[in-house]
This record gives sequence, structure tokens and C-alpha cells, in this order.
Amino acid sequence: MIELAAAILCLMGCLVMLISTLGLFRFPDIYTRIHATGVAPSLGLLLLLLAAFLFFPGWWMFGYLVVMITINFLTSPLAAHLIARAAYQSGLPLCEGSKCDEGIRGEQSLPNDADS
Amino acid sequence: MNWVEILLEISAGILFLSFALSLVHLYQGPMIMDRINALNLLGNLTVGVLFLFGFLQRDLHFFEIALILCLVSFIPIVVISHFLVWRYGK
Repeated sequence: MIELAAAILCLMGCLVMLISTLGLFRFPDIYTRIHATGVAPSLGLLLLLLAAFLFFPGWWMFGYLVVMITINFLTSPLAAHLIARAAYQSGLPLCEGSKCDEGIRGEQSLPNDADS
Repeated sequence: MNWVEILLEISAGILFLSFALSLVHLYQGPMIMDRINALNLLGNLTVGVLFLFGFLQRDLHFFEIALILCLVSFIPIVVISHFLVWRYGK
């Protein structure tokens, strides 16, 4: 029964990762695509880690779970932030529906609602 | 074949589909940032694939490889991003 719950968690984690991958193709600009790939895989990995803990219960796996969650939740947002910063500083545009650009090139690129 | 194995094999299929789609995005681009983004996702997906191998084989060694990969997979992203900021940054 516990293995079945672990397999369901594993399936959910893989589905979250698939949704994240589909976000690469569906979202309009690089920044939203970075959001899709930077946030969702962490949740997918968390579900996979919980499945691993259910598959192999014990202190070793608990320690592994804590270390892995710590590492992943530190490195994944860092990588996403660095990609977004590089994209922004390279001058890649936001998508057309964007309302606000609060970065260093804010006033030049996009009009505010108040201006129009 | 019991339900656990069926669910794990469905999970493997989903994960390999994600892997293939990420490789397509890595190949297509069109911008270099898209490729780096796909590379970042591929690192996470590889960790997921290693987990799945660990489940299917009932082998804990895959988890240790996944831990090391999770530790090092973001380093190329950091390096390439810093290079791009240095090269094309305004």
C-alpha cells in the first residue's frame, strides 16, 4: 500500500515536470519560460523525493531528503535568476502583454497604464 | 505486473517525453537564452530520471548520483549566464 502511494507520488512528480516542459513551448517570452522551468521542476523533484522516502524509509533516506531539498531549493532559483538576469541585461524584450518593467531599462521599453 | 510497476513505467514514459521535448527545445532555440533554459530543465529532468531508475531497480546508488548531479548541474548555467552578461550585457 505504501509503495502504491509512492508510485502515485512519483507519477505526480513526473506530470509536474511534463507540465513544466510544456511551458517551454507555450509561454510567450523568455522570462515566463524561465518561470516555468525554474519553479515547477522543484515541486516535481520534491514529489519524487517524497516517493523515494516512502520507497526506502529510514534515517539514511531522511537525511538524503533534507540535503537534496536544501540543495535543490538553493540552486534551482539561483540558476533561474541568473538566466533571467542575463536575458534582461542582454536586452531581450518582454512579451507584448507585459504592463510593467521595473528594471533598469524600465521607462525606455514599455509604457505604463498611467501614461496611456 | 502489479500496479506499482505499471505506475512507475507510466512515470518513466512521461519523464522521457519531457526529456525529448526539452531536447527539441534545446535544438530549436531560437535564442541562446532558450537553449540555456532548456539545459537547466534537462539537468532537473536527469535527476528525475535517476530517481526513477532508483525506484525501478531498487538501487540506492542512483540517488547518490542524483545528489551529485543536482550539486553540479547548475554550475554551467552560472558560468554561461555570467559569460553572456559579460559579453552582451548593457
